[in-house]
Amino acid sequence: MPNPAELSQKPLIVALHFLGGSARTWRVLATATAEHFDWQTLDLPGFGEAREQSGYSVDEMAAVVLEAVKAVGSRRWFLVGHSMGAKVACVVARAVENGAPRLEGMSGLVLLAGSPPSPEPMTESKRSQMLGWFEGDAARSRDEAHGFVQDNVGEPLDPHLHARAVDDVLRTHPAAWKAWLTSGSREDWSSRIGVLGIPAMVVAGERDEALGAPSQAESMLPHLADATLHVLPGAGHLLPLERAEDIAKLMIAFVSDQPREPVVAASYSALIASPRVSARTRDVLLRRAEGPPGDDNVLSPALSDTLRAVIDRVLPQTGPHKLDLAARLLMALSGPQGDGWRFASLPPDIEALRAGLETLDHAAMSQHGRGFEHLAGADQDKLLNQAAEGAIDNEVLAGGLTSSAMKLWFEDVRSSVTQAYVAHPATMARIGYSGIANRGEPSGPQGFVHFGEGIREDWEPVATRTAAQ
Amino acid sequence: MNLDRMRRHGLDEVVDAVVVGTGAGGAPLLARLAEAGLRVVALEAGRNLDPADFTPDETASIDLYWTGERLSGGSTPEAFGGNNSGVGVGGSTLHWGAFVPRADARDLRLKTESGVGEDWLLTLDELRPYYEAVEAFIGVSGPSSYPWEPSRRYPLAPVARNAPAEVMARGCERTGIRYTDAPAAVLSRPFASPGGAERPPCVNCGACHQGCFNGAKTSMDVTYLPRAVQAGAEIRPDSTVHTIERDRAGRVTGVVYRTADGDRRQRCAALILCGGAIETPRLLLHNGLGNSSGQVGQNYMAHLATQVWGFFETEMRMNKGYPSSLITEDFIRPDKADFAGGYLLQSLGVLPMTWANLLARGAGLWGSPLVEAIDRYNYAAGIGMNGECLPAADNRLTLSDEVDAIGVPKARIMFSQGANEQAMDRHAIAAMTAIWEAAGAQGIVSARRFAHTIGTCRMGRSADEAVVDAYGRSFDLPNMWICDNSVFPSSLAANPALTIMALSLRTADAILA
Repeated sequence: MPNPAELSQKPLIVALHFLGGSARTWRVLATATAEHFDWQTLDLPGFGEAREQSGYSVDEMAAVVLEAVKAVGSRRWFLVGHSMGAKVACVVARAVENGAPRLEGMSGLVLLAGSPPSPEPMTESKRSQMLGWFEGDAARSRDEAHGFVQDNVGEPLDPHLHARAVDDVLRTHPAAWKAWLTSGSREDWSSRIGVLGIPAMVVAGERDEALGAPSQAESMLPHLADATLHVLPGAGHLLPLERAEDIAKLMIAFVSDQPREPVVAASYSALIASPRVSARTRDVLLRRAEGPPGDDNVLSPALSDTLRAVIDRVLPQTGPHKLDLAARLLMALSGPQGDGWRFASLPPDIEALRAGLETLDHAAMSQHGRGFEHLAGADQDKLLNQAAEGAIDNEVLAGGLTSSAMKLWFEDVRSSVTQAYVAHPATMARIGYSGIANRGEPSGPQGFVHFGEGIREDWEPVATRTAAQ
Repeated sequence: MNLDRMRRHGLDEVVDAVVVGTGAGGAPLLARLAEAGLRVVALEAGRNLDPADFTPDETASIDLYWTGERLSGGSTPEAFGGNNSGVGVGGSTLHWGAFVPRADARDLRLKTESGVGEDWLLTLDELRPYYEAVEAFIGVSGPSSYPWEPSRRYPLAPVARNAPAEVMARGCERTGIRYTDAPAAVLSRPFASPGGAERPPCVNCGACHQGCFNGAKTSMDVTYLPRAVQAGAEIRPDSTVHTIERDRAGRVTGVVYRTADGDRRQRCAALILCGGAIETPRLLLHNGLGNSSGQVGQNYMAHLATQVWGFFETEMRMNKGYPSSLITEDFIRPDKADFAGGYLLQSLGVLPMTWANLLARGAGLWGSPLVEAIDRYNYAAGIGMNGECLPAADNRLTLSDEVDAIGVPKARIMFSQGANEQAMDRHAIAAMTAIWEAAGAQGIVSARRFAHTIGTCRMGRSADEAVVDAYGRSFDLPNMWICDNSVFPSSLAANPALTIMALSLRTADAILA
């Protein structure tokens, strides 16, 4: 599959399957939501195409996921886990909340009939029955797989889906199957996971005996600070196979409900609404807080990703919500009104932006064999330092910028990114900036009374700076 | 400003003078000529703005800036747009900082003193009455005794110091540097210009550069332009002059300007160009006029305007109060200087986007250091220099191959600071850093910057060496005059606007003589 970072800027869904499933488990759901999301569906060790891969503990599976999503970078992404995959997803989410490098764009968690962080509720008879499967001949194994799928659905699956699900169960490495039943499902992660702050959506099947709504409410929701629970009537345990359309709708709504950008703190929003702020200023700030317009294809997807990678180094934002500075920068540069000047040795603004990004990517390829966005942060910084010092060597690339032009180009990029960042009310709230409220309508308060060293007027905002913590 | 009841002139009427531009160069002379009974029309490229619409939002205030693109080159290219170039009825005074030091007498004869730079053809004694007339009319606030010219008096008491001024004063005390309240064209009490309406005092809103909403800050639209209109002048906004017409004898007969409804031609007996040191030479070069000296566009200058920033333990909240309320002129001729000329220092409060942009561009910050600096905005205070820049042959304005929306070639400005500027910059950074260290600042960072647009149509003795004479009259076109910062033969250490206004009154007197 193509590298997800080279795709468009739709939200990325990273999906982890159930015991006996595979990346194929998500096929119907991914197709149904293709207009809304890009999908990165994984085969966990011992399953699907990764049948021969070992490392079946929850920790090892989570490590595989973290490795696989390394390239997501600053992109906005959501993690979906089904049953066994949900437990792994919770461990990954904990790592991200603890600051796993370059994954801060994670914006939500979707847990389908999830196996909880604590040991999974499973009767010993059921466990020993399942441990006894896949020991006999092929026909018997197929019967057992058939029975496993049949027992876990509320209504019979479409025959094609059913057959594919049975095939997936049979593709599972017996050691992986056994490891989950004897060990993985029994691992207790509850105290290590604690309470996750990331917005979450929990979905349960009404007819799911072990991991239905009561179990989710008792064992999963306590680990989620910001979660909603949906129950699908008539559904069993294999939700992505049984109810792809219902889940597609729920996921589209869930993803669109999650803010893309930092929310302006309530206290600062109240200041913006107050009579200390003029109507025009208020209008300007509120419109800016609504977010930038969508992608207008000013740059190719590849250059757009390079730009986003540059911006992440120039103005690193932490936390799940980041201002889309790239979109704002492109909006400013491609708009009808310029800022009154440009460097004489650079072409017009948008053309210069493209040429500089191409030059940077070219330098990354020749120094590291990979494009800029795929480099480690330290290597990206090294290249940007070269740009700042006029030391990018660029004798090869036709249409690229010279090293001295790259120096000016990087100055322009720093400037544009910084202005887009500071202009946003969320940043103003973060630094506790009172200047927007320096004069309201003629009937309101005018100016400042106290403006000496160390004096703050009662109403002046204090820095929130929450995003940095 | 209210233009509803102004006198209007016909396009076919040969008015006594057309004035191009309504900023510090155009407005005072427009008023003086109108009061002398001349029929005058001012053509302004920008809109007639309503101060009630001004916003402290730094992005939205872009409508106060000249945003027609200029190409900036040389080894130290200067930023234009919001950095120094305004548009609208009132010109750059809509967004200026209203910081109004007078020229130092020594700066007017720099060449005689140091052997480099240029002498002006006028002395401080000749300029002083014009300074005083301007200060009395617009209402300048300043100290009761000016340390570097104790006999000087300002009509209004100083405006209050804000936090950066307080800490800079502390640093100056501890380093033995004299300082005082800045001369500011901002009212410290209610004030009415002679014959004008009363303007309220400054409310310390801090957004001078985004336009003054209550008229406490001097801009031409609340001072000289109402006086001009009252005396019969006409102001036409949204009118961009692109063509100057002449008769066979070489006299200007009129101008053609672009409006929303197409081109208009205004006939006139005299033309006064007041578009600033970029647009005035650009118009002349585009029309191939007034350049027998070859000096149009030459000797472009920009003030050294490096800033040094420090972070304090207490909050500065430098967005509040008049932004540059403290001055020292102790460095106009510093001891043991390894450069000619000198500089003045001012305290600085700057709004966050302009400030962060300066850190990103001029101090080269990015990554975590940039984010952390921005997070400490409320704890930062600055000192900025305004330093002499010598005229240099390689620093000049020419026309580029690219044209603007109405077909006029874009200006290309080459600017590289020379050895004298580099030496002065080093000296000033050391001085500003010492003040901040004495004041207790941490994390001190300097950011290189240039300010103002100066030169390109210098005044001089003859057409062999200059574009205009000492009064702004063209050597080539007897009924054409220039009055803006393009006529400056040298940059001076003082910020230019007050001197431009003084020259404007002086040029008006010469026209009327």
